[in-house]
Amino acid sequence: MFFEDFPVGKSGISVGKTISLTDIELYNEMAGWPDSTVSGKKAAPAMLVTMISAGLMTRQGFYEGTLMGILGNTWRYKAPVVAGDTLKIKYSVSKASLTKKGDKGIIEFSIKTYNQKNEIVAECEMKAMMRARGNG
Amino acid sequence: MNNEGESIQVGAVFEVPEQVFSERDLILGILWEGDAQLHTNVPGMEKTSFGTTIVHGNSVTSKVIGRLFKTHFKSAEEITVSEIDVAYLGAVHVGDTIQGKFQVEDLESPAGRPKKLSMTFEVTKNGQQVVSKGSMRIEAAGNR
Repeated sequence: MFFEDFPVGKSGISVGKTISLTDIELYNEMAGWPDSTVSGKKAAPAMLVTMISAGLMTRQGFYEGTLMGILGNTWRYKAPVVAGDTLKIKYSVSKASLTKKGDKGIIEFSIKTYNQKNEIVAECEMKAMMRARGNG
Repeated sequence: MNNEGESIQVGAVFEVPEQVFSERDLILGILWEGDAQLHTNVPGMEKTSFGTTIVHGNSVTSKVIGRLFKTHFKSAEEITVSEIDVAYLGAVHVGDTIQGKFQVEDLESPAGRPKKLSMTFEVTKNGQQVVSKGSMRIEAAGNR
């Protein structure tokens, strides 16, 4: 999908992804974050929650191939996430601006990440640069 | 709370050691974030201004913050991250060397409770180009 396919207010919900102990172990192998537990369960590092949430956005299937890059994001972490939790995201388009050249645009997504109890565990504003239709 | 001999105070700067971004790091990013086009489609990305596949910005941020915790906060008993803000300014590729520099902007030390820190950071690749800038808020409980 192209920039024009993301009008302000467009929204959606992802499928769920359960965070396994292996996800956390592989993340800590890559990134070296310290181990943490919550109520005896291994906690997912904040940036792993970010990456999984970003992946749930990608799996919407609407911007792979036309996404030119993520320009930035701001994540606020509201509640712990532990191994066994299942995350899903709800997104909406909060702003969309075509560049002067008209061949691409910047879309601002508002994203909320929920656990299986429907509690918000993280929220984000993310800026993505997308190709505009007709750019070839 | 942080390493012996270092003091946490407003204005303190923490530089973290260089890390080479590996193909394994890229593949792990794919596992969680996906996006085969930007990250694994070599011929497709050769046609773009990037010239080749790029790595996930969130993986880069993860690695520099992880290295900060490991090198400068290793005696902290618990670190809780409440906010991370990042602007991505340039692409990183497999094989690039990344390095992070953090500065303490604000510090609260309530008695008997974890310290609250606000830090800014920037990430440089290959010792030259700043590829991201950001800020984060953490709480660190420690024994110092």
